[in-house]
Amino acid sequence: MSLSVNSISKAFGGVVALNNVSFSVEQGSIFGLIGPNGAGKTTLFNIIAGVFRPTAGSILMNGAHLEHEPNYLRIDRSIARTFQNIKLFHNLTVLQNIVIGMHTKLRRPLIESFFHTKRWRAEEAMARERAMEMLTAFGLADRKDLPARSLPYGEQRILEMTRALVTESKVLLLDEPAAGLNNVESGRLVDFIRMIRDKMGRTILLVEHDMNVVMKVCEKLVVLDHGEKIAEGEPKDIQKNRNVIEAYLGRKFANETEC
Amino acid sequence: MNDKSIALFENVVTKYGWLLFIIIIILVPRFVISDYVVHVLVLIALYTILAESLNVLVGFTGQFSLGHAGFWAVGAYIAALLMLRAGFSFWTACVVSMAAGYLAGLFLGIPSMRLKGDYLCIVTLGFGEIVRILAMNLEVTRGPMGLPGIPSPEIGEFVFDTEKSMYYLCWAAAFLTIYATGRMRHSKFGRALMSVRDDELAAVSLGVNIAYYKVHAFGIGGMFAGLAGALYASWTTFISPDVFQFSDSANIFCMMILGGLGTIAGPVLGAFLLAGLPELLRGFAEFRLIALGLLMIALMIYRPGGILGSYDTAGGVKKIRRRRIEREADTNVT
Repeated sequence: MSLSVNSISKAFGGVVALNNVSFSVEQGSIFGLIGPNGAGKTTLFNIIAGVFRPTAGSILMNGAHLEHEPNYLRIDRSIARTFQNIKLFHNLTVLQNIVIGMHTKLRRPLIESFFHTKRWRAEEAMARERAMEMLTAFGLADRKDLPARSLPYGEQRILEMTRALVTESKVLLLDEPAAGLNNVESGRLVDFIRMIRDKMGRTILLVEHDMNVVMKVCEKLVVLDHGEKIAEGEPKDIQKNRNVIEAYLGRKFANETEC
Repeated sequence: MNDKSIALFENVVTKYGWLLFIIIIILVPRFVISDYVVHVLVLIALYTILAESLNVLVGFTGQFSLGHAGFWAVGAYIAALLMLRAGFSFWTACVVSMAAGYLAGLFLGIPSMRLKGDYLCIVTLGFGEIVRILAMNLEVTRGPMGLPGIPSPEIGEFVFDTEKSMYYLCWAAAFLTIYATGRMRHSKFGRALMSVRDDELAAVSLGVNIAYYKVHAFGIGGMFAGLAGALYASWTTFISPDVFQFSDSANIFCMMILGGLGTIAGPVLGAFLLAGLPELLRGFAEFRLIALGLLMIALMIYRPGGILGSYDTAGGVKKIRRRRIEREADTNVT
């Protein structure tokens, strides 16, 4: 598995949101994408997730070009995502939400569901079982019959991630996973993200504003500013990087910290 | 009633409700002598099929359609023309008109990939009108003179030419529709439709090809409306463009909303209320529309999801149990 972003550019009319950005995400790493407001993080994230097509450049997953594929095929390429403002199927139960995560894995045609054939029932039972396994692992098993909208915010986030995990995608894209969480919850999130990587062997690419979370959990960071990559490296190096301090805090502050 | 007896009641209703309903439907003609009542019940069966098929579009997939009478008309005209001009038997004509309804659905579904809400409503409304105006102006449909003398269905020697025989045939078709939509709801296909309704972006991110599901929701809705059309043509033996008005589309829409959007039993209840009540209230001719209007307003205020509740994942009657779980969940959190 390898995901690489090669000289991606994206322009919205005359506004250049991304200019020649490249990096590659190693298998099994926790990779962070940061930058000040308007740096182009979300645009890049959306290009990787297939929501936008880049103006130039390519996205490669195991050597296959993804940049012009429709976004519902990302799952087939083993890329799953979550959303900044949680997107659950609010009127469906927690269990149904998870089962929809297995959408592409269920193969029996519609006609078999009318007759409840043996193979159809076996497949549905398998899906429910797998979904329950995941819900139990993430402590949502007793919520399975509740509509997703009735869960508290923190649990909705976990449910959304569980749903992305059940797709068995190798790469998980997290869009601001700590948004709206308090300190305790974001501490739990850090453990959760590590657990996903360590125990389930997923590769994680996240966009995040909460520097506490980013510095704790990420192993490698790419910093964007005004659509360009200004730094890449381990969190401790990024913290000292002059360009990064300048981008976040201004040149004056960068000069002060240097002396 | 306390929680326990409600729970018992809801268990009986969910387990045996449909069985009970089927038995009642089978027995009714034995006790009802009046052809008029049976006639109304046939109409209710047809409206059940229509409301249930519209529910696939609106209730499951969240695509508002105000042109359902258009699919109904397509089915009716195709079946009538095949039987009158090409000498098809009812059964083949019925299958062909279902296929025609399906294709018409796919055709109308194509703009639905790009349109939402009000705009989609306008397009579907236009579709209904286009079908009606085509039927009005084409030579083959004989315009406003309509198509008389449509033959009744036959099996061997037996001809479905009485109200009672058509009653059984139409209710059989209605139950087939209810069964099919009910089963579909709990399949991969149905879940995908509901995921598109609740959140398109999330559905896409999980690999749901929303264009495919939106278009096929129209196709399946159109298919069952085509079935209703074929039955209608054969039952009344005469169709004309006047039958398939916009008001019928709106009526079918109201049945579905009134009964309960996204539920299986809802559209059936809605069909009974909106097709049956006006007949019961015939004595108050001028007041019945007012009464219906007030009913709809009251419903939208007090039960916006319809009588049997909206988007209910577990079926209307299980709501109380769910509320109990929710209460417990709340106390656990705090």
